[in-house]
Amino acid sequence: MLGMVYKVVEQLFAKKSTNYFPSKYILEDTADTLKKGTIHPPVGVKEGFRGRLEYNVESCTGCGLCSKVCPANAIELYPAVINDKKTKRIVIYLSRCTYCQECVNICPKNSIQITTHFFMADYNKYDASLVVGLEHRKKYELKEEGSPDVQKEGN
Amino acid sequence: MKSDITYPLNIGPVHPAFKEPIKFTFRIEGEKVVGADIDFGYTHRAIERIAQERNYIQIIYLLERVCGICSFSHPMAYCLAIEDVAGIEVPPRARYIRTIVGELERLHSHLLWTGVAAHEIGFDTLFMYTWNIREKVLDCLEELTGNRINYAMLTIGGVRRDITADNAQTIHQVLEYYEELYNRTSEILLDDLTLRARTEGVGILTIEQAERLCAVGPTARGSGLMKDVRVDYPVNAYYEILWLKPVSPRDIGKEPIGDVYDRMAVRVLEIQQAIKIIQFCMENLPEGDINTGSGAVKMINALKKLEGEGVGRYEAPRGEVCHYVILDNQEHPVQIKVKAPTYSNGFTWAPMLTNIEIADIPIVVASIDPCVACADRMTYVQADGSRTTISWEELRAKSIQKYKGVRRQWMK
Amino acid sequence: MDEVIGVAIAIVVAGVFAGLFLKGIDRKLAAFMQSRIGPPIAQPIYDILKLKQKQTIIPSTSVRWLFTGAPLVALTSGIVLLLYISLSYVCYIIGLQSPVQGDLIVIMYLILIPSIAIISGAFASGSPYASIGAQREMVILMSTELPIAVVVLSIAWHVADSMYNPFALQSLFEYTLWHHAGAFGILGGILLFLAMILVLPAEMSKVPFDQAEAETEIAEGVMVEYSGKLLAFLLLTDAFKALSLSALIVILFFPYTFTGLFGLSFSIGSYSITPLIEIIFFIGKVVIVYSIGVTVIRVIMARLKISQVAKVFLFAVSAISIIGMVLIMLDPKMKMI
Repeated sequence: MLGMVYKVVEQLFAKKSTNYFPSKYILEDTADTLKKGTIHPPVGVKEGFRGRLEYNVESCTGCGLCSKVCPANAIELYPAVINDKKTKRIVIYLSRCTYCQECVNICPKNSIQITTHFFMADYNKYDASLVVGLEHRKKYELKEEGSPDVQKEGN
Repeated sequence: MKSDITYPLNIGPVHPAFKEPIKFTFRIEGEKVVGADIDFGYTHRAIERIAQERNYIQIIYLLERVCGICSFSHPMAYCLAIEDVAGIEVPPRARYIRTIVGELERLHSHLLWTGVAAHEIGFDTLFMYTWNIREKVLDCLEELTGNRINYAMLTIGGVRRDITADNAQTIHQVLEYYEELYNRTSEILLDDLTLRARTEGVGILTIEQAERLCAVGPTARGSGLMKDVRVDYPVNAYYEILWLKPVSPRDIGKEPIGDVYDRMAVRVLEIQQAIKIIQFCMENLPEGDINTGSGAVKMINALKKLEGEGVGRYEAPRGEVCHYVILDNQEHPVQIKVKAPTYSNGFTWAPMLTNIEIADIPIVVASIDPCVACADRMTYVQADGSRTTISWEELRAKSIQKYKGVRRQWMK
Repeated sequence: MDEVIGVAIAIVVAGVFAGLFLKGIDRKLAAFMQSRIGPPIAQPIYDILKLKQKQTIIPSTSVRWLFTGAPLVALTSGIVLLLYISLSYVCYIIGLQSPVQGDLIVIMYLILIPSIAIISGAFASGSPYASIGAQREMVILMSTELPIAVVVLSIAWHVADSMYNPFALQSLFEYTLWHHAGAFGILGGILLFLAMILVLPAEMSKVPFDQAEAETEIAEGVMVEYSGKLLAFLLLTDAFKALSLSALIVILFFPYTFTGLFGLSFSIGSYSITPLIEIIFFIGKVVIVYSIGVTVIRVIMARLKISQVAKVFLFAVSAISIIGMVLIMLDPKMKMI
């Protein structure tokens, strides 16, 4: 028990181990009194952390290997028209992503890159910040009759 | 003049003492427990069924999510099973890296358990303290593998990331930190007055009961059963660690009686053992490849052409994990069977939970480090959603029927 | 007399905030000891304000009038307890003539009433967890009775010769336990203080004696079915109890005033601010006693089993207090008077 007393007194004066809850931004509808609070940035991560994916639509060839190997079926292939050629491109639903990096490893053209960015919480899982490649899809997608809704889940 | 003065007490499915849904029904007499009944099945996730529709690489990441804490052990056992079928030789460096990550996982799992156990008996300071020092090993794992919990480190035939010089330095720092801390912390964990008052002589599992009920892992070793898959059926680098032997409370000069204190002592000693194993592996880390070199697509295509069955056994922090796979010329396994440690250890609750006080229930239940979701294999519900029970004979007949069907497919 | 009524109202109003802040300080200090940042000190006040807006659910299996009435009785008796303990002392330190003397025997019974109200409410709720919690609370109440009685008796015995009414709190203000005490008396006084410090977490339902509310065993036990306003009443009762029990220990063992100790008096212009300083000094003492008796003890220990609690109080704590009483009686200097 004396060991515990020593530990407790030591911790009373030492630097605390916890952090304030990190916040991304202050919401529009937050009460004014709360806006006075400070935004606490999150604790950083180490190099090599598997975070948010980035997609390079130019170098992608539409081979679809990534969607085949993805364990969570988070990658959706869609038919696209680029430079008047019919091809395929992908969107990655980060709300389903398990951040295993298999797609990054398998991509023959290194079109998918992993970053250390991890601060992604949002209210809408189909938000533009959580669907990688959504803006390209709007631009390049081959529009056919009865084409599926953009917000279709990637299964 | 004997009258029934017992009353029922339901604990669960949702209760602050349990981290996962599980239901216990006790008969209580005053403060004493005179009977206990266990009800599983509230958190079945059908992972074995989902695995039948995923290809061999996808399954690794699916099985990582069988258990949040043993997220290295389950895919490890699966990879061993697949390597068993395909006869893949794992490069020596990969075997050592697998051992290092596995032991780091054991370190963090045992620290986590100690915190949970301390919380169950109301010792919140110890809970905060062990979880605080656990951050160090999690940071190390994050740097090594890219994530704190779901490491995504394994692949069939090796590992995916190498240990660089920087990583090696971090591991050495972390080991030094824990070695220095170990002496002070083990003193608190093993000698604290109130902690001993709550754990000694509680939830006794004798060596005979442990053997009969097939206890595994620290639960078995706490009862004095010298049982450790790392020693009995060594895989990875455990072949080369000749001094490795199962820990037991005898190492601190205490004859094991199988109470909660003994199980705690085993886990604390295993922290020390894990540090030693990692040190050994870091010193003897061979050079060379870290996997077979074939990419995911090549591997899937190679496994597609195979048929047969394989078993992988690995010592998870909680006990033995055993995976059984059947391959049948398909892109996905025909059947995969996961045996998590709680599957075996769950039965040891029955002798442990008799003749204890209500106050002992949380710590006794937690003492086997249960992972309820790992152990849930089936739920049998009626069409209208109401739960039902099926008899043992019926269940056995159904199981035999199912596995016969599966085996016939590939035996033809 | 009007001034005294004013003081009484001030004590109740200030007691709400002081008690809640006392619990806030306790939580913050415990968090610091556990290497956490912890909640803001005003968190218990936010909790009360939140609970005020929440729906109050009354279980269908409960005895409705008892279930809803018990928290009210508990709160009322908590307020009475605080007033009875601190009114005469506050009047004394700010220099007013108090109409109540404060009787130690009455205080011993008043301490029980909030707990008994909570126990009846728990039994009335019809929840098995609450019943177990209530049974445990009764065991704790019974086991703490003997140490409290011994402490009160020894202190009364000590002042009996020189004071007209030995059981009155007022007698203690001028003639403290340490007054005229020799080595035996001081040692005995320290043992009695130790016994009271161990009784404090048991009365407050804090680790290691929080079996009645054990979160991981019986999910807050006696309070499990309470919600909304009724829970707010119980939390307020807890705050009043924390304040009054710490104040009782302060009055029993350290009733010295700031001016008495240091011989100083303060004034701004023609107004004397000495009463204000005295009240701050009193609250400071209360915070120190509560921090030692509740915060430090609860962070260094695990929760005991109810059978162990009974043993601890019936053997260890009772023994400590009885040895303290014997030592005080043996003190030759005290006999002289």
